[in-house]
Amino acid sequence: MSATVYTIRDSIKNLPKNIRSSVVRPVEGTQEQARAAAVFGNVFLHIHPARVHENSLRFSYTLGLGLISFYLFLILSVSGTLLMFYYTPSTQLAYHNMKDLEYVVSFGVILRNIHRWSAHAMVACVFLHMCRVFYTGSYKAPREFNWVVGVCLLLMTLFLSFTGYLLPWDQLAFWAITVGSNIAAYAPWIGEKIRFVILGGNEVGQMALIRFYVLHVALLPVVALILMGIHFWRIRKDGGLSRPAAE
Amino acid sequence: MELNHCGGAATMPGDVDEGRRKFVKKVTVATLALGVGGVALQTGRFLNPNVLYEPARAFKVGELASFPIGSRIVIEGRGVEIVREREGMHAVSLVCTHLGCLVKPVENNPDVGYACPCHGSTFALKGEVLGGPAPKDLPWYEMYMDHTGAIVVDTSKVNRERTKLVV
Repeated sequence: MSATVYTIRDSIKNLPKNIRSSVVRPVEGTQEQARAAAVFGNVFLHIHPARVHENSLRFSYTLGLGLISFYLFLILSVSGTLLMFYYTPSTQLAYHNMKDLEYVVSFGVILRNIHRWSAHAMVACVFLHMCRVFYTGSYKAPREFNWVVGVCLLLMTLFLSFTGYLLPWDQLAFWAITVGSNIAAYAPWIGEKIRFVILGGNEVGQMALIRFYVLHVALLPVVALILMGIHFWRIRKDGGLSRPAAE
Repeated sequence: MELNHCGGAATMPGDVDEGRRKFVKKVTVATLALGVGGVALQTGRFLNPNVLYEPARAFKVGELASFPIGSRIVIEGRGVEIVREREGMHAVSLVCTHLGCLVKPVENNPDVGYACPCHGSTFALKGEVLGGPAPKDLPWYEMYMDHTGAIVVDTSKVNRERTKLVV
């Protein structure tokens, strides 16, 4: 820093400006450079490149399905976090907590339905997003690896959906997970062991509920977020959104 | 002759001792593999519960008198049905061999004994698969009478010979 001596008065006077310049990087240069820097310097705008091909912007080409899936993930994260304030992963309480959310908690029923319908919509959108990528040939080189990351993200979405299914602890939840974990048990050699570990026992009980809860609220979302980071970064590194050749 | 720190022949500054590099790389990879493998193994051990707070696999179902000849009585919450016939009695599992739903005993049907509500598997009176996706017959469990005269079913032991408890 310069050797200029500031008085306390000056420091206070400059405080808002200093805070602002610490958040938004000061830009010097031509007007074009300043515009570009505004994008480069902003993490939210930086998700998109400074220049986008005309054909990439055609909505009918991507239908925005990937971005919609991401927004649904954000909605699910927010509504899920709020639901956690009223939910206890215990076989004694879970069902009553869910009922309380529906009948007692202010806006609880809206919150629960937002979470539920967004979850259904996310599975649908991720699936449709994959269809779009497939039918437009966007999985081809150099985007093969990002397709693989996308498949992992589809699995994360399905695992999140499956683990969330048990949490209301009603008859539907119990039998769905009984059936689902028995499907896992059909895997050759280690199937029975997988079933035992994911349920934390031989039947769907307290151990299964807490395991599914931890997977649903902590482990799987974090893995999904990391994969999303890689997914979005690879879109840029693989040459931006795939697009029809110039007409 | 001047020796370098490895005891090998002197090398020019900037030369690379390939053998040494390979050795260090091997040791590093081996250590890493050992560490990661160990962590994976121990995490697996950690996730495998040592104590189960589940109902015991062997349980009393009642006195002999509560199972009259010709009766089929479902033990609620245990997933077994006690069938007593003139020749003896047996305990048949009500857990569908397809995906684990509870099958429902079918009354007054000489052909179909059990039907699964989930995916439509049907079983004969003795538990043999009749139709649907179920891959195996409903197992019979070992049962015996203990010293107090109570009938005990042990669901940890499958009665493969399908022998009846003669009482």
